[in-house]
Amino acid sequence: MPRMSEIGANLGRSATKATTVVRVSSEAAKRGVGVIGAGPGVWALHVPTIAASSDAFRVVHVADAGGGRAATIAERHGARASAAAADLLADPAVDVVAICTPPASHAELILAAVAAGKRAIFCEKPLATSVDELEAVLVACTDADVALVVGTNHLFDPAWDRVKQHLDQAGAKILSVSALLSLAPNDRYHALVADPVPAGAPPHRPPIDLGDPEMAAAVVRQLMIGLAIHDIPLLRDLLPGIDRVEYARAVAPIGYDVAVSAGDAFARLSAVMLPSGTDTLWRFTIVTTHDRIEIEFPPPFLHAGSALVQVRDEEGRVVRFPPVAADGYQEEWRALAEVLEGIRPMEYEQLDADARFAIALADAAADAVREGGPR
Amino acid sequence: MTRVPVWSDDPAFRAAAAQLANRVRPVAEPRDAVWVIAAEGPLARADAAAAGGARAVILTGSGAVSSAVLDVLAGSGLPVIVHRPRLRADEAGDAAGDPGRLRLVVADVFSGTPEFRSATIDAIGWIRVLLGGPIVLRTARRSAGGAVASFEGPGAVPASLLATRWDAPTRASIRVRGVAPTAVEVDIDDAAGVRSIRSSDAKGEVARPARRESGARLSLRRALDALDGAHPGDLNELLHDRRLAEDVLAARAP
Repeated sequence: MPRMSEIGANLGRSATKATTVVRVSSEAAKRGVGVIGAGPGVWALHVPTIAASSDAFRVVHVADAGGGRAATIAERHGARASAAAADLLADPAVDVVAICTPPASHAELILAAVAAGKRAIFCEKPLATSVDELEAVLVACTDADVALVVGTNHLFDPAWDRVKQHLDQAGAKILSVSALLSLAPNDRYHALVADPVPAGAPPHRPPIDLGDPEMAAAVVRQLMIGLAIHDIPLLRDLLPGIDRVEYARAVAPIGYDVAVSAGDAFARLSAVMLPSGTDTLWRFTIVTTHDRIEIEFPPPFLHAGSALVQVRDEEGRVVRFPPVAADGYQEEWRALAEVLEGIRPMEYEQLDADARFAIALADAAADAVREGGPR
Repeated sequence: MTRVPVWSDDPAFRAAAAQLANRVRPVAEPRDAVWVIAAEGPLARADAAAAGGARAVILTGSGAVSSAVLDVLAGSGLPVIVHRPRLRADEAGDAAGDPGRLRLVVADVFSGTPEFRSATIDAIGWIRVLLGGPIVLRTARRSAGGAVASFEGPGAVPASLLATRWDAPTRASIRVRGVAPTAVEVDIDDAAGVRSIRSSDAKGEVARPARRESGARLSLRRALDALDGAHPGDLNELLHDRRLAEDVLAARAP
């Protein structure tokens, strides 16, 4: 199995949030957000989230290259629409660029936004899909002093801060980490938070043959970068020095099952995207020398409050953390507002370390699949 | 009605015999009885059972039992019921749904050192139950703090095990989830008093009713069923689960 390079020490992610409220009184004073992309992540998630809960932002422009969906979304929210990102970036009303397109375009759009003079960017995860992209993005953003937030909503979930505080107070050593995702079709949740916007014709994709090692490796890499990325920053907080991939495989119909080691600790990341059936389960389990902590994140797209946390100690006693109303989707926008207000530091080094960690993990997992690891 | 003699000094089985008084009777003389053999008991007891002293054997403490005892029992031709409190036959029946529809089985164990090995064996047993047949070990790695392993079951359905060992003498916890449109989850946490088998689909979640019969009474009833002609696979299943667990727990880092 391939050996991962040491990712480096945990750089000490800032945990100062959730107590400061950024309020801007007038609608006109809110920063204008231009949203690039028109998929469910836009019409079911970010645009309604901004409209419903942000005191700092309002959507002023939606751009998407295909199908006229941008116009539908924009009309609902009194914003302009265009068919090209360049038009949005040229719009002086756009103060903040929200990049909600497929991962492969994120870095290019960030660079374009910076070049267009924008100084605040919200980028859906992942920030970049390669180290070259990452370095280019971070140089550009750092040089231009851009406020940049990546939409790793689990990292912003208030429950995660509570868990980290608990771990810090306990001073416990991490023994194992397990992230399990059983993902129901997302459209089940879209309809619960917004009126659906009709999708265009799906892009043609070749049939997936997980028996082909190259294709299986590509699927695993893509899923690690695009789906496991929800949990990988949490994993880096816990086990920053991954030594090796113990096994990695694609799981039918679409999914992954990957285990890594970090010293004496193991971590396993597993996910299956199901075509139907049971509700989404998104469970993140940490076993320390003192206790077992289980975090159950709500299904995607929903505003169901923070994740549920249960701590079971060595005697079998169980403590549940009280959930709070805020969720990770709201908090990531709050974080951007706080960076812009100077309340929260802009931690490029954390974004850099998170992205490098994820890319290295995805590459190593793909290598393990390609080299004939079990499927 | 002839009552089957049961020879045991285990209080749980003496209670079970009292709860099956119409069908069994406790005896002080082992000849021609159902024997309850504890794992920590002497090999001589298994030898004696195999040599014709017993009509059937109930084996307890299966995680700690020596290979020599298992070899003797396997060669005896006697009906053998393996008493596994964390893997009861009735609950296994409840959890076994439609294994062909499972996409992935994920098992987690955490336990203090005393029960770590036996809990790992039982977790592998649960993977086997959910997948509906024998499983094959693909990769394994052991560390001071635990182990991680990948398996494949019938139909090449993948499964994995993450076992974490505590230095504290905490009791074992096992959770196994079969991921599928109709999911099944087994959750057994001895210290927290949790024991549940749940299935879920788009309509919601169903919790199987708790099995209230004592484990000893269940094992004794199954021994009687075996005397009536049933063919329990307990011993082969235990051998399967132990062999895999031994491979996993021996897989040290290079």
